[in-house]
Amino acid sequence: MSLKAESVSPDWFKHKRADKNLIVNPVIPWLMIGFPVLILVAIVIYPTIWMGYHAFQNTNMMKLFYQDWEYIGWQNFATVLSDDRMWDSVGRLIQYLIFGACLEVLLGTILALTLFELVKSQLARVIILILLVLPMMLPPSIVATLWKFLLQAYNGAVNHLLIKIGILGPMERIEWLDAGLSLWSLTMVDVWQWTALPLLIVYSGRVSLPPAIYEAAKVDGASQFMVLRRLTLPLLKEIIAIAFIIRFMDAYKFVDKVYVMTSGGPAQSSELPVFIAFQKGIREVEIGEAAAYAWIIFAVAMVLITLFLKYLKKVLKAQTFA
Amino acid sequence: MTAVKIKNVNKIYERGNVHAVQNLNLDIKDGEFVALLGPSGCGKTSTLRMIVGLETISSGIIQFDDVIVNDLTPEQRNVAMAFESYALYPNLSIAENLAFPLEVRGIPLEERTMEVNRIAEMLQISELLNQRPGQLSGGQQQRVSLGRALIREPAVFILDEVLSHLDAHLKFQMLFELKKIHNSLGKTMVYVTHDQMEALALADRVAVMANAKLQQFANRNELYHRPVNRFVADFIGEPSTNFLKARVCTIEQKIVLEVNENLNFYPDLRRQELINEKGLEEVIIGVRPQYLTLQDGTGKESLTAEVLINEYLGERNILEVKNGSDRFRAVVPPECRAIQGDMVKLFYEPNHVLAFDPQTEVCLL
Repeated sequence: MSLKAESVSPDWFKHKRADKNLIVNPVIPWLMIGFPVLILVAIVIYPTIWMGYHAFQNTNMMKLFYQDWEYIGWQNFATVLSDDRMWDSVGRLIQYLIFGACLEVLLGTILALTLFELVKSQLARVIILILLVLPMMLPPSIVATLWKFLLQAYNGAVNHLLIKIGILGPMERIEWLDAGLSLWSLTMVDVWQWTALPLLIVYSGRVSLPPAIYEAAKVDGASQFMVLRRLTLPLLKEIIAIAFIIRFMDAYKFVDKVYVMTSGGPAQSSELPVFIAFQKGIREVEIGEAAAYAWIIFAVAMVLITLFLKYLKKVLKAQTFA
Repeated sequence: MTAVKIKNVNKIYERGNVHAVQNLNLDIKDGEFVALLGPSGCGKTSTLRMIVGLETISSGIIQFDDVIVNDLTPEQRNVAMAFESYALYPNLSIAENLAFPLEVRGIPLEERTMEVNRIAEMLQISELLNQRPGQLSGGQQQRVSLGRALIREPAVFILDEVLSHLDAHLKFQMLFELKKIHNSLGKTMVYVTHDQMEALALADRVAVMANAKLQQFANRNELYHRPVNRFVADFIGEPSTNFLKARVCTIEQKIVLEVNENLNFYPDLRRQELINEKGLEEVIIGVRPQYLTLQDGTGKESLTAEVLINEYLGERNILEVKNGSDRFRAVVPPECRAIQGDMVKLFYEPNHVLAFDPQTEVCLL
């Protein structure tokens, strides 16, 4: 048996290495990258530049049609920032963040830890998790349409139920989507749909905590509350923060349910900033003002995301030591 | 100060229907250092977790002194445990970790700090107090974990494979420290390990477990010289005991154990009687490699064998030898220069020849 240098690599290996068909025309990679890049330019980059330009022009539908807009400096921004409609919507956004995003994270955390502590059977856990996560699997527009029906003042299932169990009198109705309650209803529906996300995140975080430290705490004689306060919550702090960041970013661009359920109404009582920008640009075709809106929203988002990323970096750094 | 009594304890895990501990009886005296020794899966960790109270007891009784503790929580039993995985609280500093058992008992901060400093000094971890567990090496974490167990003066200390993740050098140092701690505190300690060296070095008595059953509970001298069965003889001692199948022959009214036509072992008189009493035709011989030496002496018997491997280990050599088709090992001084193919003459004392019943593998004692 002779072992020559050239016969060392087996046939299948040589075949793989020297497959002539694999040598492709150098144009093909360019084409493969090029098309997606072109599409990206067409639907993202060009409109963004276009928007940046028109934020400083007095473009509206007629001027766009006749192509005779002109430069007006920062006037669009001034209009937007001096508009009460915008500041009202900012107030509503903050209300929504506190009672929507925060409540989702809070509820999700409580549910996740309760589920972990109380349900010991693995099968039961999985079934409960699936049930809790189901709403999240539905498209937001479907959820919104569904709840719009459920919340109808007359013939709506929710009011009907309240009458049945005696909370409402037979002739009483709650106008869920009326001016006073519409944003609260939207928040409630959003909580119904999205509580499962922080729940999943916190639950998986809790599952990954080492069981040995809980046994150690048991041997050390710590009470359930002590364990929660000194160990579980501090250990899950970063994970809860990340769940909140994700929900916060979603909430910031919260527009789908507003659009479907109330269209910002009645009387603009459930409008959020992003919805106004959409309304200005697409419905009223006030291109200049809508562009300025978009820029302001973009700038605020940039600041917030930078802060979040800074926090995340700190978390990751801390985790390498933990 | 607590004596631990384990009476007829069984542990059956419902899931998988595993009988992890079978009819275990242990009587641990007050202030004793006891090791639970056995290969992995032998039930030693289950036993320990039942003593601590992290695992329910399927049947039987565990007593601390005269109190039955079956239904008591770990806190009520007042046990302290050091875990194999250290189980330090990663979000707390070392000082907070050490103080945690005191914190849950509502002891004021100044007192806690004093105690932490005392323990840290004893374990030489004072300079680590402000760090987090993740920043520490395995040995340092292990000492913190021990410190957390030591800080609150429990009735019983439970140590679960605490040295298994340390490198050899550190392990040796910690063995010494553990022994020192036990001597100074005088508390009952239960130490679980799969390493017979650790168990023999530390414990007053060792409980050898295998296949969910207690094999032998005795001090190291007993285990070494009077193992109850083949498992204990095999498990205790490094290198492990040589086992050879032998036929029982009678030559000039003396019982001789014939392994093959060139290799005979001559047991002492008492074992000859025992073999006679049992009427065995075959036995398994057990001879520790340490007792097969190159030195002759009064009353010693001898055998010859061919060297296969001469393994040089620094302070001693291990000779792998054969006679016919039977292979065994002997420990010889490092000066031995025998190489493969050399014939050596090995000597042993007749009372060091153990004989086991081939059916039950019980040692004839």
